Amino acid sequence: MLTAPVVKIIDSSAVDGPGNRSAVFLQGCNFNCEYCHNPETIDPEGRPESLRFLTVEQVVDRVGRSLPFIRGLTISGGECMLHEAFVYEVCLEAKRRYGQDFSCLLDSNGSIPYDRVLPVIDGVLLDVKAVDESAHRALTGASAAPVMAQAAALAKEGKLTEIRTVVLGNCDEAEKCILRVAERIVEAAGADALRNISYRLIKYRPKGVRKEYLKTLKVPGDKEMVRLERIASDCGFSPVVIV
Amino acid sequence: MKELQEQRRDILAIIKDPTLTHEQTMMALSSAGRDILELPGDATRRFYELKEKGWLCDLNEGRVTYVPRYILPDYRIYMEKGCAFLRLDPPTDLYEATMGLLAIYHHVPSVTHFPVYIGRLDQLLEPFVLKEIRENGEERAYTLIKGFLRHIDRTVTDSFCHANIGPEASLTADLILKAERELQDSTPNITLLYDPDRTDEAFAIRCVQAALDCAKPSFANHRMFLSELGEDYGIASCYNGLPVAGGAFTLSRIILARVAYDSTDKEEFMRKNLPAAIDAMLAFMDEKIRFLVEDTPFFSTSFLVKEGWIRPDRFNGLFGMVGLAEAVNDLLEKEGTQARFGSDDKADALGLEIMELIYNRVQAHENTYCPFYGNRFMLHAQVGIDSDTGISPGTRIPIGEEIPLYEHLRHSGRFHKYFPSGTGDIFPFDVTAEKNPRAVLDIFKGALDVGMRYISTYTSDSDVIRITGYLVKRSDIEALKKEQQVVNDTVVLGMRSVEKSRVEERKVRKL
Repeated sequence: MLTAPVVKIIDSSAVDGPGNRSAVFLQGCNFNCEYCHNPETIDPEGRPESLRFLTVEQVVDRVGRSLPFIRGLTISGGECMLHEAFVYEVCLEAKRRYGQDFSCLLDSNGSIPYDRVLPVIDGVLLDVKAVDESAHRALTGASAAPVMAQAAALAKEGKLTEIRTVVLGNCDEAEKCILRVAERIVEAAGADALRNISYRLIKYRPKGVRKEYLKTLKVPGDKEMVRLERIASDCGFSPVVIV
Repeated sequence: MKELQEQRRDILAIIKDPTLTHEQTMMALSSAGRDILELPGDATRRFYELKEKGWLCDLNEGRVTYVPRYILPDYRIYMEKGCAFLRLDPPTDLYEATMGLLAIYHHVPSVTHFPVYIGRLDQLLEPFVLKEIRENGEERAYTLIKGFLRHIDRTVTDSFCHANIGPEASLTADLILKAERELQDSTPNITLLYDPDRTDEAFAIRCVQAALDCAKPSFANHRMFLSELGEDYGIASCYNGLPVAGGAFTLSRIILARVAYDSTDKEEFMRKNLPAAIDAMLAFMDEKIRFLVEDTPFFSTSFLVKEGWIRPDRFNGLFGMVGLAEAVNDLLEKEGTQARFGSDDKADALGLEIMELIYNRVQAHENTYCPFYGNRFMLHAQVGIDSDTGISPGTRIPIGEEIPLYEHLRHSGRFHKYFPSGTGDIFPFDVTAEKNPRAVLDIFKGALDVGMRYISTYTSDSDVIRITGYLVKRSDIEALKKEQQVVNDTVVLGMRSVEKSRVEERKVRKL
């Protein structure tokens, strides 16, 4: 029977996509971001204390207990697409049981194409962490190219729900992220597409971050965050949220 | 009855109280005068015997009532015909409409002498707002609406004053929300009559944003009220569903907790004491209503009646109760169980058993002054008064014993059905909810689906907060604590409730 390592399931989340949602966190990530605030979920072989191997049925059952107070579920990680088959089955089963309107989103890093899961998901909350190849590699240990390609592909399908960028220090990279990803979306799906894509600018916070990175990572100023918010709004993203 | 010397002392104390404004002094003196009267008869005597024991409470109405407790005038009459008594013609523009309404509100009495219902403002004013915008622009319309609301707050100096909006979106409702967010006033209280099928989602989200910002509007389950009271109903005072062009003659309450404390066990409570308390209250309410309708001139002389704003056959007696949680916990403790209301099925089952007993006994009682509701009294989950200590409003789970959000909402939903004349729960949210108001709306929608009648929210950092049903500004409470006068007479109730009922300790929900 298909199972996946589930770190935790939250019954009520207002920060994992539009509306109130249940959020499912899976273990293992193919990025190793310096600012990761739950690094214990990175190692695919890691076994945090709360981790349980759950079947598709168990996850869908548990999420369903939060009805009618949620509008859907968000599968997050780690990187949920490392469990592509499981993600597919959970979304398929959730929609079969709770109706096609029950929205299924992924919070994902864009490293793995979504082609297979696309028919059963409503959208992706896509992390765009950096755009320069060297900066992306330095921050995450992985290439930026697939992320941009996924952003374009999802936008074309109308399934790019949100872009999320963790804002660091002087904000230069975040600004580049906003501008470049907007450009790619417009190329792929036209300027109108931006109006239905939200942008979430997440202010870096040291909480939970591994000690070795604390010195180099800087918290951005509030003024800078507001400046970025304006840039994202001017590009056409809607809504733009600072957290 | 108090001795004359004691009454004089009380009256002198009112006159010398430095925290009372002149208006508040007058109101207090009028109650002191009224309370010298005693309504003769066994029913009243019996009621006050049980009041002495702490089982029953007349909610500051005194022994006699000379005006209905809650009046919901049909303000459409002003829009269509004007008001002969007040020499007001039907309004022709927004300025006249708002000015006329303010004049009328001054003449709508209640138990607190202030209007508890000021109408479905969006429907009443929308044609005038549209005309104003067309002729003079939105800014002018907004100025008039904001001035109208500010005037209400400064002259209706009591928070039991309620405006309704919805279920459909309107420009007027949006102007009201915008003004309220700017004003941050406690009055008027506002309710959105909410029906997810009729209320536009974007508008509902704007209502949530306003609620998180200034504690209003609350959300009423429109479909539920509609099925019980028909299209012409309104939300008045704290959260009371009542017929428009009618209202409530009176409201008394049973303090279930105290009846339980005086009972040796569940058996004595269910078989003897609770039925006795219910019967005493029913008889008292009968007598009080009879006196009001037959022996006072109100229903034969008031312009509200003569001009058709209200009709006596649309009034009802409200049978109130508080402290179900404490009653249940006490009775179970006497059985040697530690089960708590809200957290344990056994306690919740007993809560429902008590509600069924009350419901059935009240339903079995006929009062022919209440034809609107089949000659029956409506149950009312009373929110408590400032002197209550350790007694939770209606059927609420006590502050400090809240359970996880969804369970809590489901729990409320199981009890709300009993109270067509009002009940409600309050769920403050952490400020993060402001970033995703749609999430709060999802939760509210779910709450309605599980049977909740009425739900309110505010955020942990609001200045305006909901005490039990009414709103008070935290900044006013601080002023009163320093013995400064504040214009709104409800602040003192709020201050005492914050002290005694741990309002500030209400669980803040994080999403």
